[in-house]
Amino acid sequence: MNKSDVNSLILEHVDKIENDNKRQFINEILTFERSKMDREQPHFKDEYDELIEKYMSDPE
Amino acid sequence: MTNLQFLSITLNDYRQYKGEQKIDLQIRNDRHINVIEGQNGAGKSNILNSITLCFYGTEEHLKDEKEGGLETFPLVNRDRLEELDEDETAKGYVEIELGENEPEYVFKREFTTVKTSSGFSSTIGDLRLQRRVNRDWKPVDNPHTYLNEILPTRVHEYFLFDGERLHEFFEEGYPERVQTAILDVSHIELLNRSLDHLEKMDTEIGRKASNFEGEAKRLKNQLDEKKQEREQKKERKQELEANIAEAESKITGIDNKLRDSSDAAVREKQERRKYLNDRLDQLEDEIDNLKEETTEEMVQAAPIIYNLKALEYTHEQFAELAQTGQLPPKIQDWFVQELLEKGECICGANLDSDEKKRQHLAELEQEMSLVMQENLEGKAEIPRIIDDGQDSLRRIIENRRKISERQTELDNVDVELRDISNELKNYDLPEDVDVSSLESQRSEIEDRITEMSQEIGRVDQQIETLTEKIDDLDEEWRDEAAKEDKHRRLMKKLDFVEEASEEISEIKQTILAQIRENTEENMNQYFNDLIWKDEDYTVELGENYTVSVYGKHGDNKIGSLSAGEKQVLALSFMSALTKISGFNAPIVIDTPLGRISSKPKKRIAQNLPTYLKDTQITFLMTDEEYTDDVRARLQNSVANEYQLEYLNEVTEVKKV
Amino acid sequence: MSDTDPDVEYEDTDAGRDVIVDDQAREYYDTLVEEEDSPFYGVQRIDLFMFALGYGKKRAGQVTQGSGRNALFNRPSLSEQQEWIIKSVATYEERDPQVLRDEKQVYQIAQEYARGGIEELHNLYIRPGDSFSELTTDLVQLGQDFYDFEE
Repeated sequence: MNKSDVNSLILEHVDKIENDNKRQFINEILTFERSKMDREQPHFKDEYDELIEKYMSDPE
Repeated sequence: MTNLQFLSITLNDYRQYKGEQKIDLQIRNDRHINVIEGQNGAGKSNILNSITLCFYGTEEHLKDEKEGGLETFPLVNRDRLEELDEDETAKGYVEIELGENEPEYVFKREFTTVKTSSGFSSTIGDLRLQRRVNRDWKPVDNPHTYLNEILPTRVHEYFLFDGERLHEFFEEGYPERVQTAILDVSHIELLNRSLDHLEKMDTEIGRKASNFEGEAKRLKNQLDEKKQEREQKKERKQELEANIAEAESKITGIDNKLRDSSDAAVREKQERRKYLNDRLDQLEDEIDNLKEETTEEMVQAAPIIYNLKALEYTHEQFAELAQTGQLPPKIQDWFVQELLEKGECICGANLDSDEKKRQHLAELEQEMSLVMQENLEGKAEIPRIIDDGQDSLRRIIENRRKISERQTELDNVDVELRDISNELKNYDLPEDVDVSSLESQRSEIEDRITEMSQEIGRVDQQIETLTEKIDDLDEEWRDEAAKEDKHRRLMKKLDFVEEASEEISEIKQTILAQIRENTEENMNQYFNDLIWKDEDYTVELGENYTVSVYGKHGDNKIGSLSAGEKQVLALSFMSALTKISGFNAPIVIDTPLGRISSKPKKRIAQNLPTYLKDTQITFLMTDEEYTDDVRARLQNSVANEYQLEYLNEVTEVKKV
Repeated sequence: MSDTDPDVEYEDTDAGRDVIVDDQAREYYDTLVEEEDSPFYGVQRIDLFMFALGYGKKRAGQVTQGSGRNALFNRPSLSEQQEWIIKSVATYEERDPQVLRDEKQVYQIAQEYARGGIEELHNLYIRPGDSFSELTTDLVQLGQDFYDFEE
């Protein structure tokens, strides 16, 4: 399978996630990672922390 | 889909290759194979090295000194270097033309060697790329970007490889290598990165969370400890399982040897042993089932049978009551009723006038009714209960008989198995298979397997206990932690991160499963294409990356493949990977047939032309591999043939 | 009705007049419309953007913009049909039509998909093979699956 096939599969599966918060969180993580693929050890903690705060569901 | 090929490789003063030597490798029509033949030391492997040097700046297949290099040897040809004075430099290069039918890409890498006072020192230049656009050649600013789309570093070793190293691939511990390879070609780096980073966040949040005061902290520490303990147990279990798998494959190997033994009596005993083992399993199963059935019956029957005396007694009481109750049970009831209506008792008392008597009779009627009820029910029911008990008991007895029968047969089978083992151990016939020692080995290995299985049982128990403890601790810890407001949020974060991780993991597994499936399909095809035997094999690639090779009798041969068969398996795996990777690059194999003895070698050679028909394959072979026979069989598929002539430490590439 | 948190409010915003791409993307667009052997040779950048948007949605995924600001085209040049496609992508992304109030976000979503798409398209172009043929085949297959007819 070439890369775009694998990409398609990933996109399809993520799209199926019903929980909006989870889906959007994962979407944003992947978007971030795609943008940093050319770097060996990118800084990620700040970004991830921000995203977690943003998409964590509210306490019941 | 395009099929790229190496149109030519030009070596200029590269190691043994003096001057400029262009190797034309273009394939056409049905001929998709190139052969470059050279003795060991003539620089054969350096052709492979020249490609990786050009593309990736490294030589990955450096052999011994004769082949022109430990890394310390200068890159530029030594003859050329003789002409140099101190501090003078000489250059060389490797140039590769790639394209479908015509050159479309020209990759070039220069290198320089300078003569110093103490010897020589080499440096490697940058990769350069020219690309053909319509009829013009344009230099490319970012050659690595292009190379990455043609044959990136990550997957190149599945296209350009050393056949001699291949035989090691399916040795002990191969599932890990298989897994790594599949991960390499799967393009799921994105998911791996995400998972990696999420895990790190998990650890960090967890660490912050464990900065609790007091109880929560203590619990967290305990929890972490237990988790670590469990990890160790799991590792131990994996180790044991791997050892058992290895031991079992050794036994399969021994069984195969014994079975193939030229002595008919030995073969017969092996067959008999196989039959007996199967029968043993069957009997054990039957006994287990019978025991289960029996237990059910017993549970039903026991209350009855233990209380038979009580039951009988009660039944008797009811029966008596019915009898001594002066009147037959059924009659008593309506008789009293009539008396009441008539107003006269049989004793003559006038019931109407005597209110007491009347009351007395009414009470009697009541009492009798109740007793009658109980009587009737009890009287009918108890016998039924006792009968049930009896039936259960009969079935129990029957089962016990069956169990005993089977147990006896089982004991006999055991005895016979032991006898066979002993007989084989004492075997004294001179033959090519040392039966006696094989049998001893076999027994030893079986004992080891039993020991290890038992240990796994113990470890499993330990893991179960630990998991229970961990779950409890986890709940306790989270409860404790949640109590503190400021940490509630951290716990939520943790949950969230872990859920997201799981989700991504699932996606990864789904994709990997698909890739494994595709790889398996391809492996099957290629293995059967290449293998010189007439039967059809089925190659399976399991979830845990184990490989099974099934012959037509359904037996798994993975533990007993010959060196040649392992080579073929490895070759088919490599090719499967190239197909899966999505890159359509040509393939270069150094010493593809090195480990294979002459008979299978001829047969593989016969099948080589059908192997990867649509890909350009270049073989670098020794004269021992490229025998006249092999040459004859490949003749119709070879596009270009070269011989490396090595004289006075210089190699010349001669077209045949 | 989406099952997003009903408390999520979308701000009313307007997107900028120009659609901006980063330096790297600018190079990709230039290469793909200027090189003779590119399947997009001579294509308008705005149209390539829309193609990249779709391609990114299906075969690449969102990528955040890198450094540099280059105006690719101005928004008023988008046809109504193109606008609606962009709006639908955002609505589906958020599972909530309310997002359309936030024009900035709508275009950010479209941008990120297009950014991912243009990079993959560039890779496809570089890769040996007939990228034009690959792209057309891909589209035909997807269309056939959805519309359920044979070509």
